Amino acid sequence: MKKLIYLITALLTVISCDNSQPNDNPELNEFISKLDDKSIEEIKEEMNSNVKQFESISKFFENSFSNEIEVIVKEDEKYEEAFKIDTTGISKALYQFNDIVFVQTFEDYESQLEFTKNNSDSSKPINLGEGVSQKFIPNKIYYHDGEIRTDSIADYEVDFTFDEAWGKVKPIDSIDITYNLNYVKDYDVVEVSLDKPKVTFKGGEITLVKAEGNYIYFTLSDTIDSPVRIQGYNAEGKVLDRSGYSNNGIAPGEMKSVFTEMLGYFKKLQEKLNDDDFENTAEFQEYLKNNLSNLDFFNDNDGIFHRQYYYHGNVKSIKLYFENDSENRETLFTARNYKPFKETDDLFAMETEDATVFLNSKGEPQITIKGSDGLENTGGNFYEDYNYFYYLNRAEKRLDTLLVYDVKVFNNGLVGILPEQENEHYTLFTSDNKPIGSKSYWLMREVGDLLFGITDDDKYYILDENANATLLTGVTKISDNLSDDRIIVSNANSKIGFMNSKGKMVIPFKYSDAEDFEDGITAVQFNGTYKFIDLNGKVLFDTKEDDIDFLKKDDQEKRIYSFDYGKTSYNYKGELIKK
Amino acid sequence: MKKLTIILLFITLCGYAQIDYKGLVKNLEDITFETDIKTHFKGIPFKEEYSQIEFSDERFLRFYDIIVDKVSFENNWGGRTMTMKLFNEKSDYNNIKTKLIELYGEPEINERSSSIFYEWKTDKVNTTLRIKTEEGIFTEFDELVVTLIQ
Amino acid sequence: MKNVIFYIVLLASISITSCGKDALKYDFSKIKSHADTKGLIAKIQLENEDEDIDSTSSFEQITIKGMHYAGVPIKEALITDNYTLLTTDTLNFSAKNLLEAIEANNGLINLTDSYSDRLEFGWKDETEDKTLKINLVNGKHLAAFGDKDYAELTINYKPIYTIPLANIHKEIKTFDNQAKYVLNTRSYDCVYDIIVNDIIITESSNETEFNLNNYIVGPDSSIKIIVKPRQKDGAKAFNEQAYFTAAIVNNENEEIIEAIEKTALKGSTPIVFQTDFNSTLPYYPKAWTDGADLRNDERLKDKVIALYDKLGKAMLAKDEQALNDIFYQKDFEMQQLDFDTNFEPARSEWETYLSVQLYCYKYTVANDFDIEFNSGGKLIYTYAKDKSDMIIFTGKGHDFTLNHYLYQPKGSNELKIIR
Repeated sequence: MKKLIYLITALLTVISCDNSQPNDNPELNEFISKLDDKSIEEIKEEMNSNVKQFESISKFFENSFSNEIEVIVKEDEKYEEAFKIDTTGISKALYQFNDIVFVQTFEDYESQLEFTKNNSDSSKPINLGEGVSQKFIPNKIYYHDGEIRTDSIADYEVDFTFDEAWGKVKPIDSIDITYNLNYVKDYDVVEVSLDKPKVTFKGGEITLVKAEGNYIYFTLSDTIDSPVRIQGYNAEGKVLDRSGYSNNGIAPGEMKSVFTEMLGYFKKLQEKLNDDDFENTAEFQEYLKNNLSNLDFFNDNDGIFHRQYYYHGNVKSIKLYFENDSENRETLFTARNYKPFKETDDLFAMETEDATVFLNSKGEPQITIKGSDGLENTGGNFYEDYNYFYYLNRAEKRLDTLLVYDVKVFNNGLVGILPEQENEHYTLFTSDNKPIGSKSYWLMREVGDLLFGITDDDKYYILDENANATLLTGVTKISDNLSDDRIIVSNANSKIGFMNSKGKMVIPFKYSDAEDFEDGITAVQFNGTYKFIDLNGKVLFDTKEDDIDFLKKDDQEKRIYSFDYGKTSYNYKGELIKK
Repeated sequence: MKKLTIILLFITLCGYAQIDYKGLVKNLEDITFETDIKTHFKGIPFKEEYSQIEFSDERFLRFYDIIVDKVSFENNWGGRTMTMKLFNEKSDYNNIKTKLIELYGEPEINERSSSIFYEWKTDKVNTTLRIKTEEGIFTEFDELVVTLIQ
Repeated sequence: MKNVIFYIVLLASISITSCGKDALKYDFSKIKSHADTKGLIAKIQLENEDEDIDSTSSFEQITIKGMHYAGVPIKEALITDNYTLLTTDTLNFSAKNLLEAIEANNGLINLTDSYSDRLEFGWKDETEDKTLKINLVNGKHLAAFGDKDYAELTINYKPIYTIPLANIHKEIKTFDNQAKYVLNTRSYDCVYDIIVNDIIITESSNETEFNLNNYIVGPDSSIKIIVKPRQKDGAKAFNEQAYFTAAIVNNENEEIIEAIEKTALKGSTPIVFQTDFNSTLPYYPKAWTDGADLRNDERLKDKVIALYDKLGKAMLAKDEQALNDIFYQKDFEMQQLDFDTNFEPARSEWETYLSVQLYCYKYTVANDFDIEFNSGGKLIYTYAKDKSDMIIFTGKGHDFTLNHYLYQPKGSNELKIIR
């Protein structure tokens, strides 16, 4: 059901975007081959139910896309800015990849990756204006088992919105990626209007066919490259806002809408299927390949490309911007696995059609459990699905269901379990699901690789992998961040100090305000003013200021220390920024 | 009952019947200090908060034939206040002002940069009409407060 | 008045049916459940074979002529698994007619929300929740509906429960004089224990309102209030401004039944106020009146555990009848003492139990607890010591706890939940 709808959409995109004959089209062939394992009966059933759905979808689209030529009154005209090269975002775009992570999931013996920007509010790369194109090219994949792969990986997609297939099922630690930016540096402008309806350009022709009300129709020879931008102008020469457009190989009027055409095709297929014209799936696939090319819609022989545009205003002329010269910029970054594979003997779960397979770091199947699906690893040998928590009992090769309120697996391998209720204490277990330690904690917190247990009497303990608890004298609050191997901690008098990632206090409680370290320094307040200190708490110099704004960043996302509402600022190295 | 049914059937045959809300329409000018509010408005939904009771179904609320959006009643030591919110129709404003002048004579006028207060005082009732203005011209109603003195 | 309105609507729909251009064949106002809706679509599908209607779809838009809601023509019906959305046409005051048709059946209703061009009304009853949105096209406002205004009626059908526990409201009797006894307190810098009819209903509380009906079993009742210093910041004595006053009020008519005058609190020893009060009710529950004195029951602790264990087992086994038997008497008596014929309390409690059944896979019963004896040993309450409550139900990220007053009917050997 789901697959065929996917096929229909895919067919639509492949066919309508590509001029080559469909039967030579490798992408189309691939889509058609997806039907391989379906019986002809299944296809028939799916076709019947899907044509109906497609019909309603196409009705919806036709209504929303059907533009009518209309004369727009002056007051209702909408304008946009004239095209110009905007390179302001370029340098920012090149520096945006300092903390990129990916989520790796496994399904049917294939890895799926989705990327996320971890360093800003938006999880996606910066949107760049028109005339700028960006590309991600993977160079090196570092697998957890030590393999480094460089060949035939350039086509894997670095996608920040969807899961994409990334080949073999093996945990990846990190990926080196080249980010390539190409932007228009110089361009040609060609204008066509009713006064000058035909222009020759680069050996081809651009012709204005019709301009009426908010509608304009013009053609370009197929030999001319696509313009970077097309803008419509009204009689006064103001740039109009576009309301709709259609680009086609076939002249308007000679074709029905894409959807009607496709629907007609699918209905024909449906009829043939229902009449039992095909003996088996292979025959159906063959028919699909041969007959797609017979559709008029896909035959473009006139050598010109037809463009129809609609505007929020009465359009009199069109300017086309063609790239003349472009500039290329490149940067290299490393994306890391958001949930890296930890111990080399850990297993990971992969869902297949009828089972969950647990594989080792080399991607070799170790345990297969039939029937279970939707399992997600929560760390070590612990898993969960929507309804239950599980422990993968590797000795017995089975999944044990844990009937508890919550299971938390920590980075050091310890497991905290709330047996019955939210408001009770965590009981500690080993990674083999054996009880360990004598104390229970009402709160467990993790900062970096440090695990803290907090008891009823508000005492903080550091817990090692054997649940040995070390009391942190005086600590009453711990920050969530580990930065430059330092964690902010405070005591009962609200004085701030710093702890390192081993849990050792390296700078005693003495500051009344502080932020995390960045690039080896930070500003802290004591004795009234803010002072810059190094990682050991040594004062570098006193700013003599008593008001700070930490939130500012420079172009390269580095911190700016801004004092007294921006009157005095220091860069991330602690150097005074001259005005 | 049968007779009524037949009559009604006759009236409604081949035509749309509308519920006759006439019986439920309340003329707010009839309210006195003695009126038992809940009994008077029986059947009409209301909101009650502390000592204030509010009706907001404009289908049933009229003040000298003008549609009232919302009305709330509150009793205090001075008497009973009836606060009305009206729809911002200029004709409603003109009609209400004319009606009040006809009833109580010329009001005391207090004009400010973007509002006007009209006040009518008798020993039984005080009426305040507040409107918002732009350059002295009516733009919208603020509120119409009728205080029924004990 | 309501009856007359109802007649008119009924007649209006008859007259429309008999002489309208398109006979009004499919009445959505007769639909009372999601299953009924499916039935109606199937009927529409059967009678309109040329049209493309799928009665199995979970998102079906139908624009067949002849659909109506209590006589008001419906232009489009959207049927989904979760709701039905009916849109009227923009002819002949359809929005006004629909509002009036619903009000004729369900009573006048307050606006729930109102924007300048859209008005909203809501109705809730046992089988469905309705939301009516009136879109003003050329009517200015509610009082002046225009002929082109149209309405969108969204109906959510609720599941129907046959279990008696979810239908208690149907069994509730109402009376002319249904007193609701409430204790209102006012105080400063103190806490208090309240004991009604020898039942400790709260300890060290500073709340200000207590419903007493649940603890009444006859026309004569007693109340004892032990007022203690608040012991804030280690203080052991009453603050010099501390005072206490209370009154038992019949909330039905605001009549004061018994009052404790404002008393200044001095010293550090608790002050006891004690009085009898007339607790006449038109209904008295059996409650624990025939209960056995449990004070010398050696097996009491085991019986408490056995009861909660039975409850836990019934919940995990999704044994609806057993749950009904465990809770019915308590719920019935409490709702009857509230003289509450609303369907919501029983339904929402039952739905809570259903969600516990759905989400929880484990229960834990406290083994270590203190037993408090009330009402001459006939009524007990327990305080868990090893757990947060007497019974804890656990699911993945879900927990639910219970603790109740228990008694043992004479002749029985098992405890029962009673409050």
